Amino acid sequence: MLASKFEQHPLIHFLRDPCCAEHFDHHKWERLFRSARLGYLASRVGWLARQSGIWDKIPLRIRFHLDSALQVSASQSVSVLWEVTQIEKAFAKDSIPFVLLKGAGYVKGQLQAAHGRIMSDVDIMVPKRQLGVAEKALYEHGWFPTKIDAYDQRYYRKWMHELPPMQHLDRGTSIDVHHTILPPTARLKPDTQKLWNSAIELEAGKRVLILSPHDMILHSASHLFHDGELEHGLRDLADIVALLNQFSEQPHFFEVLIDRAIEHELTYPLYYALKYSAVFLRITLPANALAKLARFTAQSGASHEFMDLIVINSIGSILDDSFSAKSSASQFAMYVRSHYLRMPLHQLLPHLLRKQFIKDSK
Amino acid sequence: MIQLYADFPLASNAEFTDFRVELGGPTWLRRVFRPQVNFAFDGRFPFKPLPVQQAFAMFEWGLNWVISNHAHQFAIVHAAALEKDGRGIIFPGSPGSGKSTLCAALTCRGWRLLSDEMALISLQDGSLWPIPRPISLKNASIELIRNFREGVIFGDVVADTLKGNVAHMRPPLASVQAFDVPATPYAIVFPTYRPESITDFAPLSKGMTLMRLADNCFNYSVLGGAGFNCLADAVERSRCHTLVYSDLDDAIRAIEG
Repeated sequence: MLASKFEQHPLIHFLRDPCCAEHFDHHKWERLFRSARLGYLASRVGWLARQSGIWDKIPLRIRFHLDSALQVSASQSVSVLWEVTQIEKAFAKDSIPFVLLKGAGYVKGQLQAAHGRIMSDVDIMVPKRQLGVAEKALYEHGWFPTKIDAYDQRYYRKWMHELPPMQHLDRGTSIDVHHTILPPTARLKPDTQKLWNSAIELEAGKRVLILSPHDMILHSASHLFHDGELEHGLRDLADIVALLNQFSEQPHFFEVLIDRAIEHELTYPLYYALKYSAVFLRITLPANALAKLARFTAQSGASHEFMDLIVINSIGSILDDSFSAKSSASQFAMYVRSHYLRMPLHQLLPHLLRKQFIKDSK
Repeated sequence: MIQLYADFPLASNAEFTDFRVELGGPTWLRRVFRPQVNFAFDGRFPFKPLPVQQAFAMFEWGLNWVISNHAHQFAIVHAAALEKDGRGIIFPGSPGSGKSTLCAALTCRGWRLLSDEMALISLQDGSLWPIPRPISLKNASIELIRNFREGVIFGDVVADTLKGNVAHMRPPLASVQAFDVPATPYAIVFPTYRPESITDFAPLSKGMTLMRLADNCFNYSVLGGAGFNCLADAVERSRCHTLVYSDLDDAIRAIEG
């Protein structure tokens, strides 16, 4: 199913089995690393190279780049942990609990997926009824909105599942404050209360939580297909695979995961996340998992083929050494689609038109 | 480009390329009408396009950006770096401090150019890695160096860039040939060009040197503890000075003395 130009790509080979890089020549390493850098996977590649035991066989000039990338993820982990303590401090007065989402959650939860994970901001979820208090507390502790344009403010507050992004005045670090994991305008409506009920408290008595393993995978899956142009697509798949590798040892893991997806109405993103994880990264799934999920997605054969075409090309765009126009057409299709999933057409069209024509208004 | 990079060997296709960068016109329209140039790294464009006359300057600035954002196996200090008789000197300084002018003058007096823009200090062993690219000179410094020594080769002077008039000077052949030979830090000197001043070469405490070095380190926040240790080691093994100067010959005498 994967086009041969992707199937043969050294980054795909490496992510499936890092040991195969032992015999890579310079040319292959160069293609591998350039794509990894584009896809926010350079540090993950560095970590996998360290882990796999082939480090000493990698040419020195390439190890330089891997070391550099590892340095970035190492300092990010330190900085994320520090941010978490600062957020905790800001929320202490009002006793606001918060769930660390995505990268920050992996790091704080000390999960496998944290290794070599690059993130540009800290994503947290707070209870919806405390959103206003949380925003005020963050202002008081030095975080300020970066998008102060009235349209952007309204876009976030009215239609999205998060506050407009904020940045800390001294540290320059960014934070995204969500109150659920998908926008309220989206057609899929995961049950936020259930996310909170099964979230895991990291230290007793503290108000820092991470999602349960199943919800974490569902969140990563829905994020993958609702968030823009999929240029982080392969990174997100690698995250999902790392989470699956760590947790699928648990008894009945996949059964529970699928039941949970049904409960949250997230069968559709999970179906695609598992399907494309298998396509790109060759994970093994229980025999009936995809078939079981496919029953809930209710799409025609033609529609599946269309999805395959645009998703595979979008995720694969970082692997395309020529940066062809075709992949950018697919990326644009994904961009429109992700917005279509997030909001109904009568809201979407004016939004996209505005974003197209007022790009450089700043 | 050919003038300034004449002494550099071309890479063969079989070699590993660290960074793939490209200069090109942003759109076909902008190739014809008020032509512009755009800098691409890995097929992406990190900057806004510039007028085509500034293509070479954009290439140099783009390379600086690529290196300071992707070479975290080094502590990268905004500094000129040179070496003579096994003694490497780091000259940290913000734009306008006169570090590039001093750097160009020192290469005219037989010093080996390591870099006029970034000192690369290895996190692994503290050695100073050369990246002897053309020296960027601004405004009055261009004439000053032209008159300082005959036979120095310059690229075209580009007027009205973000930094004023800019011209690049070809690095000395011997520096280019030694591009893969690291140097050992011996001194750290903070230059300040002050018109009409008498040369003042004064010792600076190790503590102050470390603080100011960290201030000038592009990737200090990325490196964290490793960066602190690396810079502290460099300070520990170096003599530390400030240098206020207006006369280049006098300044060089102080440094060599």
